[in-house]
Amino acid sequence: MICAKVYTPIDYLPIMIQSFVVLGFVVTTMIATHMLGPKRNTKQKLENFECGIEGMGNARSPFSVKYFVIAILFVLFDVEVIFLYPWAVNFKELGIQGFVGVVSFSALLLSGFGYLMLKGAFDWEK
Amino acid sequence: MENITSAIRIIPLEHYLFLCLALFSIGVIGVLFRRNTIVILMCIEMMLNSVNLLLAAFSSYRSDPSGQVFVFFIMVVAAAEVAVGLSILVMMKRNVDSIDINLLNKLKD
Amino acid sequence: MFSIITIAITGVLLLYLGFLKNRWIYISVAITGLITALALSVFSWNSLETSFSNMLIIDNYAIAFNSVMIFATILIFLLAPHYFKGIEKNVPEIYALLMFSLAGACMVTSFDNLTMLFIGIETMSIPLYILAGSKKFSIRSNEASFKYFIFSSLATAIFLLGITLVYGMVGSFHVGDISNYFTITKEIPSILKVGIVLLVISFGFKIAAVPFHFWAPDVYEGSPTLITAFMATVVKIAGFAAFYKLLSTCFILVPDSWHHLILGLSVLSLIIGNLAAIKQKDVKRMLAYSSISHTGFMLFAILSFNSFSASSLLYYSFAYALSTIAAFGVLMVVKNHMSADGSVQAFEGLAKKNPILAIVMTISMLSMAGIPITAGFFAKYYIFVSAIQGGWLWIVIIGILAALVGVAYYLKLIIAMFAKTSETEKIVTSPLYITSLLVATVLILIAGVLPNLIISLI
Repeated sequence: MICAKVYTPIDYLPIMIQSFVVLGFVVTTMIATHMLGPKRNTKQKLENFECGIEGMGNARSPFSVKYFVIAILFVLFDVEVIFLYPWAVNFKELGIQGFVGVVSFSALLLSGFGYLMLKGAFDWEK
Repeated sequence: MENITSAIRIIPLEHYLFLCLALFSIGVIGVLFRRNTIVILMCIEMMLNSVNLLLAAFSSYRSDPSGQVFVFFIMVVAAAEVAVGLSILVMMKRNVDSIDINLLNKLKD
Repeated sequence: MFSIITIAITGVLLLYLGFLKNRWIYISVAITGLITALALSVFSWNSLETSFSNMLIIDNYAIAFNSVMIFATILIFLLAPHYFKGIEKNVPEIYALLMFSLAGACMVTSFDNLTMLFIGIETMSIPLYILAGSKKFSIRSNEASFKYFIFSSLATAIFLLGITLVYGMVGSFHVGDISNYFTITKEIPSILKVGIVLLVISFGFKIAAVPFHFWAPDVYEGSPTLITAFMATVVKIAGFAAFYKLLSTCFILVPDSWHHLILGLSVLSLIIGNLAAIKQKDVKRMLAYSSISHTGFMLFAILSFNSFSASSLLYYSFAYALSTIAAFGVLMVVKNHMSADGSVQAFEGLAKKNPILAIVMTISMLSMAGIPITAGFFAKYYIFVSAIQGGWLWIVIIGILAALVGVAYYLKLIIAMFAKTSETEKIVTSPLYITSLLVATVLILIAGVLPNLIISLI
């Protein structure tokens, strides 16, 4: 699959040329539209487009972070799964001892999950 | 597996070292000088991940899997740390309505 | 090993017991769990045990430090019901987090593999970030929590880079393999030296040694006082035990690469810690700086590796933990009574308001200053003896001068307590609270009269 070829800097020349072309195209078009296009700024034009409804207030006002707790908990429980991979790969070699270890690990994790349920961390309607 | 290890070994070890140290230094500088707390959290993550990269490189150069297992532990701890860090940030935001670190100056000599 | 498991399971149990909403149930379960853990720890004395595929090695060194830390936590838990009186929300969670942190601290002292050291340090620190911010609506507590989080994470990252560089050169995380590497290899690569220096710096952060101390006064001041007491005792002792063990087992053969650093940390901590403590008006902040200066003294044990330094470090930790808990215990009551005023003036007339508290505080201050018949005297004495045996006479002279400066600010507080004031309203405390403080005080005196009990252990 991967041939152990030794790369020298000259092998990367096509990538460099391509990135120059891409950058050059983007920059040129941006400058060209700025120079060529007419500019007639009026108040209506500068306003945010809100589907015909008049804009009001600041768009950056705070909003509810109800899902914050769930997002954080997802990250935590998601990452803990990482420990199951090495065990799954060596399932046969680790034998009963590895099984007991993983079960106790999962039990601890589940006890944390049970605590969260009882505590009401997953109640949306609160 | 052998293929991945040999592919990693195509690049000399020094290059990994320099890359990781550069990433790490960028992280340290970010933590010390940036004012936005979320950026600070990201910089801490970057430092931890640069260490992960270096560990993986060392591990495949030495053909010793324990370095890669260590990476797992670092990843889990980093997730836990970031969860706590973000929670602290939300708590702070509720009280001072900002995430600018310069507002944290109540404790002084 | 079983004591660590007991502590962790008690923590999980406390989380669930919190739903019962009865504060006496969870404090009694917590203390029962801790006493069981202490007993399990003490009964495994002299039985060398390696567990978790050589990740942990529980020798007498680890057992001694674990017992001191578990005992300190018991004293702190005895103070807790009075401290949290009137607060119902989230108290069992705070207890559980303290338990998890203690479990991490016990792992740190008994590591046999750098992976375990890393996991232990993180298990110890992550609950503390939350605990430091456990006064949710106080901006100062938030600030303390965030500062602790940032600087501790920075230290963790530096620590990891150090471990990685060591691993890259040695090829193993195992303590035995690392020390073998140094016996075989004569020419040490410079990357390895950088790794060792990074490890020393990260531990400097964790134990709050100057110049990596700047977070400590802020964090100690902003956190709830009970948590500060835990941080200043258990976490610091665990940090020192791990630091000593790391350097004495892994890097003892290459002292050139870290000796000068420790020397600098120690001298700077002594000088700056003491000088900054003098000008503090807030007692909590003063205790924070005094804790930094104690770091300087405790680093002497690491400077002079000999057969005596481990036991002198243990004795110093024990004396320091007892007097710190007593001091913070009195501070909590006084601060509560004076409506959150923790300045030296708040202590005026304490001898009239509550003589027991005044006596406890006096003895703990005398112990911190190192006046004879308290444990603090022999703590300093043994650590100086150990340093002189290692050939560090001039640094002992600096230490003695620093101790003399220290007497000044400890005496300032004692004088304030016995000063006359017009206000003579009595301060009331709960019996459990007084018991904890008196146990600490009596042990300070016992350890001060019979130092051989502890010094001959390891």
